[in-house]
Amino acid sequence: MKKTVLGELEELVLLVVAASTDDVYGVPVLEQLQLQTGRSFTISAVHTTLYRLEEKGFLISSVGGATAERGGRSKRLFSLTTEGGRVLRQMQQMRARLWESIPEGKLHLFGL
Amino acid sequence: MTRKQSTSPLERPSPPRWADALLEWFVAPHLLEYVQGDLHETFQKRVVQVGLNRARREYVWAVLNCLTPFFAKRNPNPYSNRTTTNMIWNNFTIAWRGLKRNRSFTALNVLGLSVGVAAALLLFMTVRYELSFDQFHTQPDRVYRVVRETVDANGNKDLTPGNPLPVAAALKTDIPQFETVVPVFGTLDPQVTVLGSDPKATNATAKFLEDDEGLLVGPEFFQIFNFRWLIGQPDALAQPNVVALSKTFAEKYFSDARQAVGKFLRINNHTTMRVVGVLADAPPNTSFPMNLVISYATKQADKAKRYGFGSFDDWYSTSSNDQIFVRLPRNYAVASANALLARFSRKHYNGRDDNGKKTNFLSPLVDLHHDVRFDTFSNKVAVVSHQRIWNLATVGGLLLLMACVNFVNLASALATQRAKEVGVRKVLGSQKGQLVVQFLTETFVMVLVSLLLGVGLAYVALPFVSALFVIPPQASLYFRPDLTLALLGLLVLLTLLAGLYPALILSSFSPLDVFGKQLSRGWLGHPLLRGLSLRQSLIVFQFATALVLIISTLINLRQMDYLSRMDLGFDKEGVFNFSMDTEYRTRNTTLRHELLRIPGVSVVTFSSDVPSSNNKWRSTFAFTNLSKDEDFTVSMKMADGNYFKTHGLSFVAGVPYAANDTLPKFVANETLLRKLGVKNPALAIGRNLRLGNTTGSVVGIVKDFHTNSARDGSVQPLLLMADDKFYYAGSVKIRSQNLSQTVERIKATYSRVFPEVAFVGRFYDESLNAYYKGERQMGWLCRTFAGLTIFIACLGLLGLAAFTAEQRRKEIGVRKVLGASVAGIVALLNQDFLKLVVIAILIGSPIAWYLMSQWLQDFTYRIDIEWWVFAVAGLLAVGIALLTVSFQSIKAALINPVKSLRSE
Repeated sequence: MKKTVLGELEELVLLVVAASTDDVYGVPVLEQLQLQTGRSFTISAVHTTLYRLEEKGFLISSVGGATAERGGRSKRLFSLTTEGGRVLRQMQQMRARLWESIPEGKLHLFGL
Repeated sequence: MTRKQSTSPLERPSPPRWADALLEWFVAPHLLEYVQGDLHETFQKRVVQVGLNRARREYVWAVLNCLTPFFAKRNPNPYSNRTTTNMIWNNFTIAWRGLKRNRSFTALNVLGLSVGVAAALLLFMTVRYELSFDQFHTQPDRVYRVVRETVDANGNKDLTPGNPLPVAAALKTDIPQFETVVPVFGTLDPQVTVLGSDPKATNATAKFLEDDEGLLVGPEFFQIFNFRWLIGQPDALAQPNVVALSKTFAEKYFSDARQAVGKFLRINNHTTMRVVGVLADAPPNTSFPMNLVISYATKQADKAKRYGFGSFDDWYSTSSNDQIFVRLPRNYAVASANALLARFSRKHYNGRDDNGKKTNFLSPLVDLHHDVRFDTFSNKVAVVSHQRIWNLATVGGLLLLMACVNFVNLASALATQRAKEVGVRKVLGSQKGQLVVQFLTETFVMVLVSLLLGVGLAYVALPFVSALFVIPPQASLYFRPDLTLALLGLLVLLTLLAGLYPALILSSFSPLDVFGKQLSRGWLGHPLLRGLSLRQSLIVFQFATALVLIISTLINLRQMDYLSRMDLGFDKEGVFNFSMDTEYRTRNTTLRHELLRIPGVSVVTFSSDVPSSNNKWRSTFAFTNLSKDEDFTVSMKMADGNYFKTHGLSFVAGVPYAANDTLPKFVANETLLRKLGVKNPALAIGRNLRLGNTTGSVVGIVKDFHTNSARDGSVQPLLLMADDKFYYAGSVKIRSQNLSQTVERIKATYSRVFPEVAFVGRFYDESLNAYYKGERQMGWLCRTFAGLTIFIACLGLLGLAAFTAEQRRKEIGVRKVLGASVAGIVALLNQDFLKLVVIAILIGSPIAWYLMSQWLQDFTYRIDIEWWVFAVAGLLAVGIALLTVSFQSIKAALINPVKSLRSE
C-alpha cells in the first residue's frame, strides 16, 4: 500500500468532510473547523486544501445549488471517497498505536 | 442570533466593489465562481452578525488572502491550437483576399497613408539636414564665434558678428584661455582670371565671376574646422597671395585638379595668386564657402584695403565680413569665457564707445546656421531659424498624424463590417488569440504596402522638394540606415494602432451578439456632444487643420501681393543695375558718356548701392553742434547727382547736389530731420553737417524711401553724398520698348570700357523679388500642405461617407420605397457631414487667426486680417466636403431598393 502524507490542515478538513452528512462546500467546512478547533482559518486556505485533497483522490466534487446570498453563484460540493475513508482509518490506527505505546505510569504522571 | 433578511437583491448590502473586481481579475476562471460565492455568503452572514463595516473589512481581508499562486494559475486550454506555418500563410492569403475584395477602400487607405508618410518623410529629412550644419567638425561644441552687442544711449541694442581687425591679435594676447583664435574674412565675391602657368600673362580670356566665394583664412582655421586637403597642407596658407581651391573649382579653372597646384590666378584684376593646394569638396551642410580659399596673410599684407575695410590698428571700423572663431579648452564653461570677453571689451572699447557700450560674447558654432540676428558668409546658404525648422517639423508631424488617424479610422470602420465573418469563425472553433493575429496580419500587410509606397513617393518627389526648400538634391544625404529604424517603428506602431482596436473589439464579441446588436455609441459622455463618435471627431480634427492651412495660404498670398505692390518710394520698373569695380573708377565718366549714347537709356548713375539693398553702412555724424556727434548713427549711401533722377526719388525741399560739384554736399531724408527735431525741412537747407571727418552743407531733403526690405523695419535716417571711391553699383533708367536689346547694348558698352571686368547686371524688380524669397517659400509651403491636408481629409471623408452609406443601406431602401426622392436622400446623408464641417470651421478659424496675427507681427508693413478671408475659406471647405460626400450619397441614393431590402 502506498504511503500518503497528509498535512495537519488536510487531515482536519478531511475529518470535517467525513463528519458531515451531506456534501459540503467551503463555508460550512470553515465554520465547523473554527467551531471544533477554536482557531481561525481563511476561506482561501480551506478552498486550497479541498482542491488538493480532490487532486489526491480523497474527495470528489460536484457543482451544486446557487442561492441569492451568493449572488447567484453555484457551489462546489465535496464528499469523501473510499480512498479518503481508507487514509483516515490508516491515520487513526497509526495514532492509536502510538497512544498505546505510552507506558501506563507516564500517562498518570502527565495527568492523563 | 440571526434575523431573516427579507430584502430584495437591490437593497441587499454588498461587499466593496473594488475588492470584488480585484478578485475577479486575479483568480482563475474555473475557480472564481465558487470562491467568490463563498465569500459573498460569508459576507451576508457577517453583516447580520457584526454590522456592515466590520463585514466589509473582513471581506477585504479574505480577498487579500486569496491572492495566492494557487488561485492565479489558469487552467491550460484543452483546445489550444498552436500556430503552424500553414496557419501563418493562411493568414496572409486571407489578408490579401480581403484587401482585393474591398479594392477601392484599400486603395483609398493605402494612398492616404503613403502620401502622408511621403510628405512627413520629406519634411523630417529637411529638418534633419538643416540641423546638421557644421557638425562634422571635431568637437563642434567647443567652437564659438565672437560677436558683439552695442547698447546706445537710448537703450537700443545692435548686434554684429563682425569685429574690428585688431581684435584677433588682442584676443590672442589678452585671453590665453582661448585655445585657438581664428580670424576669417568672407566673402570677397571676386572676379577670377585664370592665368595658367605664367603669372605675367596678359591675354587671359578665362574669366569667372565667383559670387559668395573667396574666404580668407589662415592655417589655424583647419585646426578647428575639419575640411580635408587633397593636395597640399594648410601651412601653405601662411604666406600672402596664395590660394587653395576646391576640387570642383580646380577642375573648372584647370580641367585637371592635379595640375592646379603651382598655377596662377588673378583676383579682381589687382592681385596675382598662386595655387598651393586642392581641398576636397566641402559637404553641402556647412556655412563656410570653401571653394576659393585665400590666405589671411594676403589681407594682412595688403595696404590698399582691397580685402574689406579697416586696418589692423583701426578699432573703430567694424565689418560683418570680419569674423573671429575660437575654440575653448575641453570642459571650459561658456560663462567664464563670456566673463573674460566682457573684461576684454571694457579694456579695449573704453573711450571708443561713442555710439554705444560694446560688449563681446560668444555664439556657438551650431547657431551659425540658425541665428537670424547675424549674417553668414554666403547668400546661397541662408540662415534658417529654429522657428522655421520647428514649423516644418510640426507640419510634418501633423500630416503624419492625420494620415495615420485616417488610416485607423477607415480600417476600424471596415472591420466592423466583418463582424459576421468573425461570428462564423468563432462558431467553427477559432480562438480569440488567433482572430487577433489574423486582423493584425491584414493591417500589417496594408501598412507595409503603404510605407513602401510612401518611401518611393518621397524618393521620386525629392528633386522638386529640394528646389522648394533650397536643400541639395542628393538622395544619399537623406535616405540613411537610421531611417529604416524609424520606419520600422512606424510600421509596428501603426499596425498595432490600426489593427488592435478592431481586432480586440471583434474577437471579444460572443457570436450571438454579432448577429443581433448594433454597435454605435458616442464616446464623449457630455449630453450635448452625444452622438459624436470618435470617428466623427477625427474628421472634425482633419478639416480644422485643413482650414487653418487654407486661411494661412490666403493671408500669405495677400500679404505678398501687398508687399510687391507697396510703394517703396523709388522706381522699381525700368531700372537696370550692374556692379562696378572701383579699381577702374577713373573710367566712370567715359562709361556714362557711352551709356547715354544708347537709345533708350535716359539717366545713368553710379552709387555705393541701390536704394533698397542689404548694405547697412552706418556712421556717426554731427549736425546741431558740429564738434559733438549726435547720439545715433545714420545710414549712408554714396551716390552721384544723377541718383535721384534715375531712381525716381522726389524732394520735399532743396535740390539734389550737382553732378560735378567739388565741395562735399549732403542730401538727407525726412526721417533724419524728424529724429533731429527739425520740423520744417526748408530750415535745414544750407546748414552744415559733419559726417565722420567730412563737413559740408545740406542741399536737399529727399522724401523717405525704403532702405531695406519691408520686413526689416521702418525707414532709417539717411544721408547721401558723392564719393566715387565707393561706387560699386551702376544704375540705368531705361525708357525703351525693346528692353533686352538695350540691355545687350549696355553690356557691350561696359565690356568696351572695362574689358578686365566681367559684367553682372539685373533688373531692379528682379532683385527686389529676391528679398521676399523666404516669404514666398512659406507661401509655397502653405499651398502645398494645404493641398495635401485637404487631400488626406477628403480621403478620410470619402471613406467615412461610403461606410456610413453602406451601413444605412436598408434605411435608404425603406425611405425610397416610402417615396423619398433622390435629392431628399442625398440631403439627408449630407447633413450629418455638414454638421461636422461647420464644427471644424468654428474650431479652425480662431486658431488660424491667432497664428496669422503672430506671423504678420514680423512685418512693419502689413495687411489687416479681414473677415471675408475666413468666409471664403469656410465656404471652400464646405464646398469640398459637399462634393466628396455627395459623390457617395448620390451613389447610395440611386441603388435599387429591391437590392438592399432583398435579404432580411
